[in-house]
Amino acid sequence: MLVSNEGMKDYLSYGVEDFVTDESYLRYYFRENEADIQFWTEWLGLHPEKLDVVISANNYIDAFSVRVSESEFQKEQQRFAQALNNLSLDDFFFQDNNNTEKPDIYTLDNSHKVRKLKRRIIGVVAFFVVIAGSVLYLALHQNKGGTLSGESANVMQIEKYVPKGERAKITLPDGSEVALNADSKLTYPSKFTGSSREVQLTGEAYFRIQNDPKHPFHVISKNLAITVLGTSFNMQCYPNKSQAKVALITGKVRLDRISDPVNKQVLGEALVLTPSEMGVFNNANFSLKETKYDIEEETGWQQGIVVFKNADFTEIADRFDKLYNIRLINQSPKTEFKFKGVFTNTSPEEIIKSICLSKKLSYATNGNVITIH
Amino acid sequence: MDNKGNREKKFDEIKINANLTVIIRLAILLKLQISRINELWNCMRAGDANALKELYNSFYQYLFSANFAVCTHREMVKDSIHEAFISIWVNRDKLPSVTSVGGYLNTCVRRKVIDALKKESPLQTALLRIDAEHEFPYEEVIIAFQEQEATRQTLKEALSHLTTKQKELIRLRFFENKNYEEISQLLGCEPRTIYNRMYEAVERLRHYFSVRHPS
Repeated sequence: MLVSNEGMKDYLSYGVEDFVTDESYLRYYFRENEADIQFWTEWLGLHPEKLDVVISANNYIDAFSVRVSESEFQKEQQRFAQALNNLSLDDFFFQDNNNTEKPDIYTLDNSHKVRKLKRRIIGVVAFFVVIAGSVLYLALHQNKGGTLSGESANVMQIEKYVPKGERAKITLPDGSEVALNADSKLTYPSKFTGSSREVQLTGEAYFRIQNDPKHPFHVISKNLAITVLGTSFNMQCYPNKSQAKVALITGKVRLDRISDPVNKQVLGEALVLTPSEMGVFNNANFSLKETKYDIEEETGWQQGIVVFKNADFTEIADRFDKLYNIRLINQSPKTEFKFKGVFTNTSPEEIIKSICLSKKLSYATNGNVITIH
Repeated sequence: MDNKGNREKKFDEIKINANLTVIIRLAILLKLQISRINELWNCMRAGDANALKELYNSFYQYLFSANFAVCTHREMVKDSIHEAFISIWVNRDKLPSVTSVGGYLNTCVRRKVIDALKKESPLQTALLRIDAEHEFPYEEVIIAFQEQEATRQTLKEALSHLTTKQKELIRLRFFENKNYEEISQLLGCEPRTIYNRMYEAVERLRHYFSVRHPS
C-alpha cells in the first residue's frame, strides 16, 4: 500500500534487477496484495514493450522461489474441493446406518408422499430381511454343530442383488461399506478368512474400503480385478455395457485384466490409479486406459443425480430401465439424437418431459412403459 | 532447587517467545491477522467448510515450500498437503483449539510427508535417518525444485558465483518470503542496504541467466 503512494517510480526505466528487487512487483507476482495486483496488471497492459524484461525478471523469481505455479495450485484446489465434496456426500450417504443386512432404498423423489410410501416399503422389506436373516443365522449355527471340519465351513457366500429401480447399502464383515446401484449384484463371504479379502461385482457400486494393508481387498468382475488397500472408488461393470469403469476418489488402486472370475489369470499390464483418475476397460479389444472423470457423472447416482452426456436413445433407455425400472420405447421419427443434461432428484417423468421438450417430441405413459412420439 | 526452578522458568519464557515470533512471522507472511487465523480454525472445527478452504488457500504455498525443504518430491509434498487437510476435516470434531494454526498445520503435513517417505523407500529413509527437523540447504532445495535439467544446470552455475551472504539474502527473500523490512531487522541493517545488496546479487547473476520464455 505504501508503494502506490510513494510517488510514481520510474518503472519505465526498470531493468530486470529492478523488477526482481521491487517489493511491490513481488507482491503482485506472488498474488499477495490486491492493490499491487491491480496496479501491475494495469501497468503491464499499458507497456507491452517492457514484456521481455518482465518475463526475464519472472524467470529469476521462479528460479529462486519454491512455490507451485498458479495453474498447479488451481489443480490442487480443485482436487481438494472434489475430495471434500465427496466426503460430505459420503457423510450423507453413510449416515448412522449400521444394519448390515438391511437394504436401504434411497428416495429418488423429493415429494413427501412418495418418501412416506417408500419408508413403508422399506419397513416391510426390512421385516422380511430380518426374518430371512434369523433363519440364515439359525441355519448357520446348526451347520456349526454338524460339521467340525474347521472354520472355513462356517464361511458362506452371500449374494446381494439389488433389483432395477432400487439402491442399497451393505456393510461388509470387515466394516467396509458398499453402496450398490440398481440391477447390480455383489457376492461376498460372511467372514473374511485368509490373506486377502475378495468380493465379486456385476453392475455398479461405490466402495469405501477399510484400511488393512495386511489383507488386500480385491473386487473381481468378469474381466477386471481391482486390488486396493484402503480407499474409496466407484466401479461400473454391467454385463450389457461395452465398457467397465473404475473411478478412484481417494487412496490408490491397481487394475488387472483377468481371464475370468474363477481362475483370475492376469493378462497384460496392470494399471495403477491415483485420486481423480478413472480406468476404462473395453470389452471389445480388451484395452485398459486411464482418463479423468466427472465426479457427478460417476458417483452422483448415490444422491439421485442423473447425468447424461451426449446420450443417445439407447443409453437413455438403458438408464431408465436400470434406475427406475421403466421401459422406454421410441416411436418418433427421430431415431438419432444426442441429449445432454444433469438432473438431481428428479422424477423419471420430469426427465422425459425435459428431454421431449428439448427435442420437440411428445410422450405417453402407460404403467411402467413410456412411449415417445 | 530454587535456582533450577528459576532456570526452567526462564527456559519456558524463551520457548514461548520463540513460538510467538514464529506465529507473528507467519501472520505477516500470510498477510492475515492472527485473530483471523484462529477464527478460521475454530469455524472449521465447528464444521464450516469454507473456513477450511480459506485456511487451505492461505497456507498452501507456505506449507509447500516448508515441506519441500524436507522432501524434495513435488508430487509427494502436494499429496501430503492434500491428505493432511482431508484428515483434518474428517477429524475436525476431535481437534484442539491451538495457538499456532500454522505450526499445527505444518506438523500435520510433515507427518504425512514422513509417512510417505517411509512407504516409498524404507531403506533410503533409514539411510538418511530422516527426522522432522532435517532440512536440505536452500541451494539444493531450489535446484531440486526446477523441473528442467537445463534450468537446474544454469542455476547451479549461477549460484556458485554468489557469496554466502548474497545467497542467504536470496533465501530469506524468496524462500522464506520475508520483505526487506523484516530482513533488515533480522540482519541489523537498513532496508536500503538490503535492497542494494540484493540488487548486486541479481546483477551478478545476469551473466549466467539467459532470457528463458516460459513454455
